[in-house]
Amino acid sequence: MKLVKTDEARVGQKAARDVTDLRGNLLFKAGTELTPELLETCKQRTISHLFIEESVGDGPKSPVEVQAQKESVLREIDRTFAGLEGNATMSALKEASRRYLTAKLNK
Amino acid sequence: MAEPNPHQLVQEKVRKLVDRIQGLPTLPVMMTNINQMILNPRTSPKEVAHIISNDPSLTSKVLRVVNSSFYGFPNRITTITHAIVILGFNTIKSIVLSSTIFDVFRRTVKPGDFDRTQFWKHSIGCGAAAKAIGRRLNYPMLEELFIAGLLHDVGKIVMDQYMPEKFAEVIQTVHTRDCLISEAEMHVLGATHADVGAWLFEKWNLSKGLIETTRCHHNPALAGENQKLAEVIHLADILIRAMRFGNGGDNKIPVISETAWKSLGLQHSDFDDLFVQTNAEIERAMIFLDFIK
Repeated sequence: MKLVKTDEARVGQKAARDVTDLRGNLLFKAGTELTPELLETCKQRTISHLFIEESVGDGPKSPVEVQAQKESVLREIDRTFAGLEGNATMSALKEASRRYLTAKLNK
Repeated sequence: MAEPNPHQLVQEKVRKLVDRIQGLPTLPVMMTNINQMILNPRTSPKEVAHIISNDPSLTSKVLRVVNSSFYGFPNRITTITHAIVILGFNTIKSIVLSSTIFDVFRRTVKPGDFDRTQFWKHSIGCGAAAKAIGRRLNYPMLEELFIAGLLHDVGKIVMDQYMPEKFAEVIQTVHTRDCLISEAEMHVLGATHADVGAWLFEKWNLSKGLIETTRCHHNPALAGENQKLAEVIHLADILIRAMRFGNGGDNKIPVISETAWKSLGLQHSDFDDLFVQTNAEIERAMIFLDFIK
């Protein structure tokens, strides 16, 4: 599931959650495929963001790409935590961050 | 004559800094009225609802939030009066305050500007992390934690909007020095977003808890009677950076205060679960992202 701006949602993508209007009235249910009409309705009802299901085409396409993405994230984590190696709590946080983010990429 | 203490020196720098800010908005009268009405124990939900209902856009936003999974009520709430009865004055006040602040600091941004979507995602994430920590600690007022997290960095938006050249210099310094934004602010301005945010909330007569938490989220030991609240926001700000959700203007991470860590009584082994719980809170809280459009 990912959150996208309604303007950037595409016809054919599926809603990952029930979509309600400003007063909480159900417009369409999770799993519904987005149509031009539904997207227009969302815009008219000033719904700016939608949760949509992530399809294969949205994510990395190959194990190589997944691995490259992981390596990039891990490099960023190293950069973020640089210089804090001597602090036990920050080291524990860094390790937890690595576990969390790599698990997220594995999904 | 006695030497001014470090706190007074920072306050003086903040005063000089904010004196240069022209045309800073006042808190909308409606919000001031609600604050005053809630202090009166004889105020009825209907009276507060009447004030909110005069603003159709605000009414819609409040109803949308109270009917979202953020609160997760099984039955639909259709009126502001009903929402107040179910959620209480303070919760509704918090929703109105956050919506008001999103409105007050709304601005069209151009490519290359400070990324406000990433900023608000960081802020919503911080509120979500604060709630997750609060649940773990059995903190009694989770709503207070969420709002304090949501608004802890508002000083950055004040600077971005009212002193854009100086704030651009701050961001440039973050890039060239690869440092925390608060360090860049001290270097460029002599005070931080925490000082500016607290100053704004003081001007707006908001709660002492919100003021001190905003001022002390980098150093919660200075928050006095609001120390616990500030400790939670301090940790939440750091957790959400470690989760890489949103961005508050830098790519570094502050060190968790040893005093705060001991005071909160958490263990290193709690981090994994806090990340999972924060992620769940974020999904529920994303309704607030709709406010910024």
